[in-house]
Amino acid sequence: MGLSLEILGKEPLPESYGIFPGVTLTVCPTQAFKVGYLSMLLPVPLRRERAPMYSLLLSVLRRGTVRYPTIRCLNRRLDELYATPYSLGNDAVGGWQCLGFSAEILEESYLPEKLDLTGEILDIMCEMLFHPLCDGDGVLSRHYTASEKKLMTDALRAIRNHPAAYAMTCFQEAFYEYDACGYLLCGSEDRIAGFTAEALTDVWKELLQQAPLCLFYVGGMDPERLQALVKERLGGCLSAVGRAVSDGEGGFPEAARSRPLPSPVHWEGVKRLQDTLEAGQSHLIFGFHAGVTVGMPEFGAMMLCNEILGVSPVSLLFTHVREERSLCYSCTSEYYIDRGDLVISVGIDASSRQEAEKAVLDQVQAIRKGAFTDAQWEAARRSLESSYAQVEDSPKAIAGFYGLRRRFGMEERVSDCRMAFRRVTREDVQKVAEKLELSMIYFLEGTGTVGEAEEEDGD
Amino acid sequence: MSDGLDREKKERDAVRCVTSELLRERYWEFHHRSGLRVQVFPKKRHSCTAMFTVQFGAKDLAYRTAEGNEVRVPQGTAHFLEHKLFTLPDGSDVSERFASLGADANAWTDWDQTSYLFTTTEPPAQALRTLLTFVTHPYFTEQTIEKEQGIIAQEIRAEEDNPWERLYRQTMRALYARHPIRYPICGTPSSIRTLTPEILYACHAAFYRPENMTLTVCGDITWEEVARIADEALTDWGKNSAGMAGVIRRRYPETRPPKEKRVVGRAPVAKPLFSLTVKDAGVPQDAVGRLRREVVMGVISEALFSRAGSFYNDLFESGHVTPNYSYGYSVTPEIGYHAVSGETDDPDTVNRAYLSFLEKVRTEGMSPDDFERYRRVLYAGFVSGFDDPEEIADLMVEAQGGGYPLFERLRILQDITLEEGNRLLREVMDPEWTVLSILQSDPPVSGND
Repeated sequence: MGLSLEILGKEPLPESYGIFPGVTLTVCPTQAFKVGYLSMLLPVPLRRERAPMYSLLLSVLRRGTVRYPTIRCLNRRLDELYATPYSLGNDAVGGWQCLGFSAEILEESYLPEKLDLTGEILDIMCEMLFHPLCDGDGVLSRHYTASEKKLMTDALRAIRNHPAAYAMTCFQEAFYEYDACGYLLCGSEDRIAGFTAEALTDVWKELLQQAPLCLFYVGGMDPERLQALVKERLGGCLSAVGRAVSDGEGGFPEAARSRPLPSPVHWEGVKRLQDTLEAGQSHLIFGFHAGVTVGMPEFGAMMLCNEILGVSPVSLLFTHVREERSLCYSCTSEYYIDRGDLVISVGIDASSRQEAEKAVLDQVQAIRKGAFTDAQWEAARRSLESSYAQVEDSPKAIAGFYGLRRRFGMEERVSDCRMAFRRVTREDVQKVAEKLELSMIYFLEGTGTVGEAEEEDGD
Repeated sequence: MSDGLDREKKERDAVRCVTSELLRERYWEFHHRSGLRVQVFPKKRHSCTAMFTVQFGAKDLAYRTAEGNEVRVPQGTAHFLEHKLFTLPDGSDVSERFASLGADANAWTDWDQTSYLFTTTEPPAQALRTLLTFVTHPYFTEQTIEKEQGIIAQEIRAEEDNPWERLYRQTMRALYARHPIRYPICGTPSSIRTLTPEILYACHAAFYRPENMTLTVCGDITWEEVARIADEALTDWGKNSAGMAGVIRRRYPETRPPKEKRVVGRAPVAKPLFSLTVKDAGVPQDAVGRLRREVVMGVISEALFSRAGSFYNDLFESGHVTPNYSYGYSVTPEIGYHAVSGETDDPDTVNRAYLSFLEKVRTEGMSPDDFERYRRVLYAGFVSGFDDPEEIADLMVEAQGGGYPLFERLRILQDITLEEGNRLLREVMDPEWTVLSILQSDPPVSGND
């Protein structure tokens, strides 16, 4: 049922162009959208001691440049350019921390004036990366560094404001403590306090000289025109930092491919952690290692396993933990496709902890035994296919899909991915569920009293 | 066209095609013979979104019986009803049926409206039939209501644990003396415990009527197909509504002065949160006038409070606010307010800066450059909403709820003037009618001015 992918034909893969050595532009040409997407990312090896430094660097680069010395000047320029939504990229994927910028750019045909908006946005990206505001001695602005260190510390402290996010952060820190890569990209208060503008400047210079530069574009601009634009805007910046600007090689830079992650540590038995926070709701989080990552033969089965367990509208967790037992409002699972782990989180009343824990683990056991209905199986498959089909409805999602696969060295289209899900059998899902090894249970007990809504008077 | 089809077409109001040359988009709207308003926005995309919306939201706390008596209902009734409609008479959840059709169903309740929706990348006909059927066929029992109370109690707890949500509610309670925006959309654990099948059936009969609802569809589908499906799924709907309970559109008259000028609440936050809100008591009653006010206030809000402006940057550079900062104007037929929110160590200093900034900009007005810059910011924001079917459906539901044509916003954006903006700036952004709302971890400070 549904659309026959076999007769749809295959959509073209995005084309990658080598602009300069170590600089790649990947393009998905399309006229289907009013807003295109451009990202400029620098993948660097994810390392626990470096990750927060890079996060700080990105914030300092965004703070002011030679041409736009304050964040106000930068923001005014972006507003003049139709308030192009502009993001700092800072993700940890496949053993890499991807730093950089991305923007959603109004297509030229919808602009009420003649303006090379993509070129202007590319200019601003280059300005932030290559020409940030420095003090007289060439060190990145000490004032901005100090200010961003304080903001980073404030942001760390503010994680406690949101109990669910706080619980997940604490869980991830403990779950990945074995991992030299770590998980928390903004580090700890002590670490942040030790960063200096001088050290940050060294990291920035090293980044400019060594990191691969990956640009990804989805939109209506002609690829040849875009290549010329990127060459023109980036050439001068790169040669100024001593990088070669001869012709580059096509394809995704090898240096930016995914790196193997450390193997998880297997604690004796299940590691249990408990914490308290002043909150009305408690949070129970389960961490499983499975060792199945994107690109592996069992990837499709693992995706479906996750879908049946805690993602689809009729998932085992939704049906049996929320609807049957009324234990929670939110109960979901998430599959970390680059690490091969699966995490289940539930928001509950503290008094329901034992019941919720048993109910959740029963569902994991159920999927191992194949105790899910045909309806749940079919719903999961369709839900997953549908979510992948929707990738092609969004330039940002297209860039995310292909960007990740390039990093893992995969030449896979969205339709290939959907077809792969169709080949997965119930037995495949059972078999992959057997690999789910419960490693950690984290419980954040909410110690708050009844909230103010309880006291609210009626009208 | 055959006689039968011709007759059917005449039974509906004329089908109207609405076009925007600037956006290169068009949609169709008509009234189904039941009285239901239907909007169809064809869009070549993999996904298709349909929303079935009722003008029944958290602010509707009463209905009229067949005998004409007014009956009050508990806080959170509209939201609870939204949850319970998903339960079918066989005890299953309608999400299962949608899932078997490759569709993902959801729903949300706001102050004025409740919307039921699905998104699918498969042919949407059967999912559309399911949507129209389940929303118009309620089934409530004491057992299923009791079960839902536990789930919604956890939803309420999760909201209470969100400090921004608490700040918002505290601010609304300070701003308004009567309007139900003072209360949480989900209700309270005690208010939802008083709900019964009878209350939910009565509210369904009163509000879920064709003339009080709209169907909005956006995706690779034609209006003719939607009309045919509506005909099949809504054969008897609305025919027996004579003599049944009815809608009460209660007004909640508010005076310009806020209920309180300064409120302080307690929550375990790392840094105090603040909201600086000004109450607008001059909201026009006509829909297009109200939209115009919203558009002009949108430009004013950007010009005064954006991250490119002096207000934010002076406070940011001096360390008084963090990037966790937001601003905006909200309007409904009954209420309007402009809010600036963020984190600070010193809410009173931020408040003083805000009040003196308002005095200054009311005297000086916006500059022509700023006005033009933020007119284009709003233009870009609106245009970018027309790529995604779900976002388009949201915009259509918002326009329908507001009572204005979808593309009217673009026309107004081209039409407004700097003089109009500065006039409204002086009228609305008056320091006299502001509220400072603070949420902090210290014990509450009593001190309403």
